[in-house]
Amino acid sequence: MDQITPAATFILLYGVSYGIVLFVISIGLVLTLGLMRVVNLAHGVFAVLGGYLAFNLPSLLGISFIASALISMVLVLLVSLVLERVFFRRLFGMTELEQVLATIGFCFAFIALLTFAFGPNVLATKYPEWMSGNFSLLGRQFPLYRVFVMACGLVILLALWLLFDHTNFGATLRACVDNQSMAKATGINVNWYFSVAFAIGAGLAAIGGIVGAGMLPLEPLYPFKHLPLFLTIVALSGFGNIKASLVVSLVVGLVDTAGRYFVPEYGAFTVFTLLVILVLWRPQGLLAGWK
Amino acid sequence: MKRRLLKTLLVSAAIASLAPFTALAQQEPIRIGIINHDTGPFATPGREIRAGIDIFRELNGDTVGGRKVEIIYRDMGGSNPATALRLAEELIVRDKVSILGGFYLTSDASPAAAVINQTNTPTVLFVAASPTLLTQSPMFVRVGQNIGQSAVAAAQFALKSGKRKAYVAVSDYAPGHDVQRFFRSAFEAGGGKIVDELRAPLNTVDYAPIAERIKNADIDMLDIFVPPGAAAVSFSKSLAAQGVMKQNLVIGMGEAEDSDLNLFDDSIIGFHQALYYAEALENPENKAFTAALKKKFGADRSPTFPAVSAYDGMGLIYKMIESQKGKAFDGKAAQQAALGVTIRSPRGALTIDAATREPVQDIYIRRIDKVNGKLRNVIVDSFKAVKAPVIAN
Repeated sequence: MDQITPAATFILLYGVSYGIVLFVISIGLVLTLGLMRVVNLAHGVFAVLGGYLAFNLPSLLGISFIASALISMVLVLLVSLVLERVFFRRLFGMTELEQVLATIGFCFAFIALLTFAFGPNVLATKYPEWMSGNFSLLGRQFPLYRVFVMACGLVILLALWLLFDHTNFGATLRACVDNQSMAKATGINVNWYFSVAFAIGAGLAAIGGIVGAGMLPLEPLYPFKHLPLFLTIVALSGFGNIKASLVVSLVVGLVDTAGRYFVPEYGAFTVFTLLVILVLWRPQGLLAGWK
Repeated sequence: MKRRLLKTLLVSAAIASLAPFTALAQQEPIRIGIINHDTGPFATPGREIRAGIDIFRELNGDTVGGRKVEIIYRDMGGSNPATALRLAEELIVRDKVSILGGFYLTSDASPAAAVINQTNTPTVLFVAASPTLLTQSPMFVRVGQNIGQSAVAAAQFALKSGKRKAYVAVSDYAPGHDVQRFFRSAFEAGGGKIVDELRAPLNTVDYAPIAERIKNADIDMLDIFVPPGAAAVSFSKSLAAQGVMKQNLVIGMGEAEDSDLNLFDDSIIGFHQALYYAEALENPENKAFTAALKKKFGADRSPTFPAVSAYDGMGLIYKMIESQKGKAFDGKAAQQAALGVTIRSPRGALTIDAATREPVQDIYIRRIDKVNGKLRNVIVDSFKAVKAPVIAN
């Protein structure tokens, strides 16, 4: 028992914090896929861009890390609005293959840009002092960083829940996801809602990139390297289902962490085995039809 | 009579015009083919290899044994055995190079062995470190390291420091397996016990669960081998977060060289590495090498082991060319001339073992510390004239 408890607490704490980061990054992808059926393989670009900005701005502008993180999020949000206008909007109505090719091409171009500007190595990331301590839980030490990640996740969840379930905006957005042509028929400007949802998704990805840098190191290859993980979340969530994507992210985080802990040699396989089983079992998404 | 004179004139003119050609034949440049990585995932060490070659030519000139040395670079663009064979063929057959150099990865060299053996082209392996690589071709000579040299030194240092209970954690690819094997056999031979070992997939992102597993084992030291860059940063941070870095001797190979230390935070302090080069070496060759490097590429540039390996690789190639001075270049004879020689390298003395064609060299144990407010690899121990170890698979 005294061996099982620490292992279980470890897997819970690390798995949940990992899952939350995956959720925050992937939620934008879930939304855009649900809303516009656009397969955006370049979504990780927003996460890595947020991370690079947030860890470079403090030394450039002499601001605190939190301020820098917020500024970076807003900057990524604005960049995504522009990109949506000039690039992603043109992808609506294209075939899936064309969308995949265009967005993966965009992803590669961005990787090359980051390599050009910052070199091919990982970015040195240092969180502020108050985040790098430890705390005791059930007779052992855990890094405060993981708790900070979970706290960020809770705040974001609360905000999303209020936005989607308790505002007109949220209701309209859900209507657009569920039945786009009907939404259009009732006079909803679906394109505008898409722009806003896209920007929110990009902003959240930026937060995920910043907060998650302790787990997913920032490097130019980031948007491509972690794409399978993000797509796993999307595939298991079903179209535009935010609640499902939270559950899926946590399950993936926990399974991945437990897998790496118990069978490190097969660490990469556990989560993808899960993907195969779940897709065969529930091809519409894990919580499809569940309201 | 007139006609005869004309003939003589013509003949002598012809001979006169030929004369410079025979003189030129001796002065004809000799070509060296370098198979390197200018693009792709290994572009960073590829850049270092080029820098090492540039510095060598800056300090030693581009003429040796009366011949000008021309270098032809070819880009692998990533790990690709088929490309390696094609490039070696093109360099030898079409570009008529006399010697091949470069070879960052083992898989850059072994596919080329066939064409190298057929043409008796001397081949200097700059960095490729697989222990079995030299059996592929009698023309291969190595100037980097046999990976077992550092792995065995790491085990001996741990034993010397009184450690007896080891955990071995390596990346799941051939060099990782080699390190695991060499470390295990040397550590056990010295009376140590391997408590547990694991192979982490190369695509591992979050190393926290692995660090947790290591933390829960009853050990007093940890030997690791992961590629530099994202994996090394992530793994070392996870180890530090779990307290493994402070509570145990943690020893690696090239995860946190001085040139990469800007990627790490202070939690890396105390991490040990065993390798055949150390930036902190005080010998005159290293000082000259470092000064030339900083002069050419800027004060921020730090010397690295691929750069030093390339520098020494060029040194060996120049010795091969010099041995053929005034003769038609004979590949086999040139390679023989390189066996047994000692080069005064930035890493210290480097001897090519005549029997095994492996480098014999000192292995340095470095510990990361804060020196004048900056992270640095400080030499804490060294093993003299280490030969390539031999163990059964």
